[in-house]
Amino acid sequence: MQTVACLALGALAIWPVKPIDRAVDWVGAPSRPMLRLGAPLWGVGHVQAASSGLQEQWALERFESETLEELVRVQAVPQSLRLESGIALHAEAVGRPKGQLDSILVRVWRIGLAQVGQPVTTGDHFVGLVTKVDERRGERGSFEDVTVQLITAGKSRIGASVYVEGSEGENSTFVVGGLLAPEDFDLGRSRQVLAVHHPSSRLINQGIVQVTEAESGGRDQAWLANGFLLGHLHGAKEPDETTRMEMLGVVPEVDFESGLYQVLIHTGLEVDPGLGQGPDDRKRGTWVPIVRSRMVDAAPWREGSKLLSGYLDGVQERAALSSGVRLVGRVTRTGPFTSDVAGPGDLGFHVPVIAVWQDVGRPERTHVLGRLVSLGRDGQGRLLMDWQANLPLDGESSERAHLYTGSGDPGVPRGLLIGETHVPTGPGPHVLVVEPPPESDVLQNLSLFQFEGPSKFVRRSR
Amino acid sequence: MKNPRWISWGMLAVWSTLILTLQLVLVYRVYPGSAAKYIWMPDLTIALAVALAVRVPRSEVLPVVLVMAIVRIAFSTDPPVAILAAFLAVSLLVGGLRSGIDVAGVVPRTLLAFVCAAGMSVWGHVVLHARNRGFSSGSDFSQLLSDSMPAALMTCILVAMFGAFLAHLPGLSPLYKRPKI
Repeated sequence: MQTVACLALGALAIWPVKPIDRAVDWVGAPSRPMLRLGAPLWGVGHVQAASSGLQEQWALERFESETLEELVRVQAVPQSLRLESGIALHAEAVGRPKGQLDSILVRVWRIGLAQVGQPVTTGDHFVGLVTKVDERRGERGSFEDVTVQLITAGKSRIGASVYVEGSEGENSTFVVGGLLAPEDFDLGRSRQVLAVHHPSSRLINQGIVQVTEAESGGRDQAWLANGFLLGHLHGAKEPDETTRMEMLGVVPEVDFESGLYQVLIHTGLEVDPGLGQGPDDRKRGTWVPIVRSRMVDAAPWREGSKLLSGYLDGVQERAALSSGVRLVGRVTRTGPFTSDVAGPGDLGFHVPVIAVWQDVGRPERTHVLGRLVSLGRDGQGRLLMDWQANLPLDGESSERAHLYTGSGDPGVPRGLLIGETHVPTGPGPHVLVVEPPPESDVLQNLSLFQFEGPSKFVRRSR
Repeated sequence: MKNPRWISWGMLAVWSTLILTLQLVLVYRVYPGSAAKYIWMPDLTIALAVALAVRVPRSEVLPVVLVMAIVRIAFSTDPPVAILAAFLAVSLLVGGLRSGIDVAGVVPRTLLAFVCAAGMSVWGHVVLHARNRGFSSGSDFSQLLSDSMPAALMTCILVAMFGAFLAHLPGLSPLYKRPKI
């Protein structure tokens, strides 16, 4: 009997089953007071005062984080293109719809403007089309969760044309949608290549590809994205195996896998000519003060800490824990009375990340890195993070940058500082060596992010 | 109190808590910084579990180990099912060996502590890797084993030197009393 129980628990540890995990959590619940028992005796729970230098550092970090928020919002607006008239809704990525890897879920707080078929862009780049709009009512008011089918999806299609520098007018028109194998184009495995279908000319195999949809008789409202970029046209090194014709692909300048943070939904509606929505689209969640216990058994294979609150107190799994604007960790497991937090040094810890260049002379202040995965720490306590470099950095030498959290995870808001690193150039994957912020063991205003969790469904797509 | 074993289990929980606290003090004071620096830190709860399991009556091994598992769950960020599985395995191993040989001597209990501590460390790694499937780069078994060696070595030295003392901490004596027939 004991053997069976041991084997069953071992299997459940490796292949977790949520309801059983929850039930077993109650087994440990009575021992919760033990967490508080030893702390005062040994001084483990002591609070360290911050020096004045550290106070200034915190203020600088907060300023940079707020600046980053503005930068990301501005970068979602096209820089070199003229927007079509009508309202363009700012929306922040909050995750992916369940089981749909080629779609993203974005949230808008202005109800009734987003509709199926509207194009979605970020900066000068086309992203995809709205396929579903669900109105929901949460604790912080009504909002819409908009599903955007990315242009990388197998069924996605958009009309496009290519422009070659030095020549006038479009040279070839075709349809773009879905993905091709990057190896066919001599590109690294982490790069994405959009498939080109039915080109009017196969002789042109380079140039900048733009969206070109017919305004009347075209699909939905895709024409609102006319002029937005899809990427650079490339020819494959070998012809297509079945048709023996040259295979064409478009290499985008957007990381569709994990680099879409802030987007614009083009509504085409003339109700309000103003761009953006002001501060009301930042209601993704609230920060609540939280008590952390450092009384965690020490193990060389992980770090992390425990919160003296559990799901009965409203703690949500995957929520971010912060100290000021510094990322401390994420909740990995919630028990009834306590919760576990994984730190950035824990193997497998992952967050979407954006780099803010320390060289203010650079034309672009930020670079979307996508999802970084922690590989642990080196002997000096620096974080080792795996970067797939879906969107590699161009240039000769690595660049110094502060790393902040990006968007795409519901529980992690944008703008939390992870550390400082040199971002290498060239195709990935790379391992980034990240120096944590100075005196990162001194905490200020430890807070937990409470985000819009399961909320009441109101209405489906219009 | 009709059944003083309940008191002993309570005392065992208190001792386990204090031992875990001691381990934390050592970690934070001696090795401030990252986890990579305290690979030599002995696994004190495993040391106590082995020291007790080799000496208490066989019928007491399972309750003793479960009490310690529950305390460790309170302190640990490892999944509770993983900790329960590990401590049940310790109980099975010690119980199985005790049916054939005397494991209370210095050499057998030292070897047992080594195996259990190394096993706990490898198991912790394995669960972490398994639960982060798709993100972690993975490690081979020999690497995991060599990583766990320093802590296992320190744990077994501790049990060799202080095993008898750990097994007779104040308040635990009712665990050694045979039930009246």
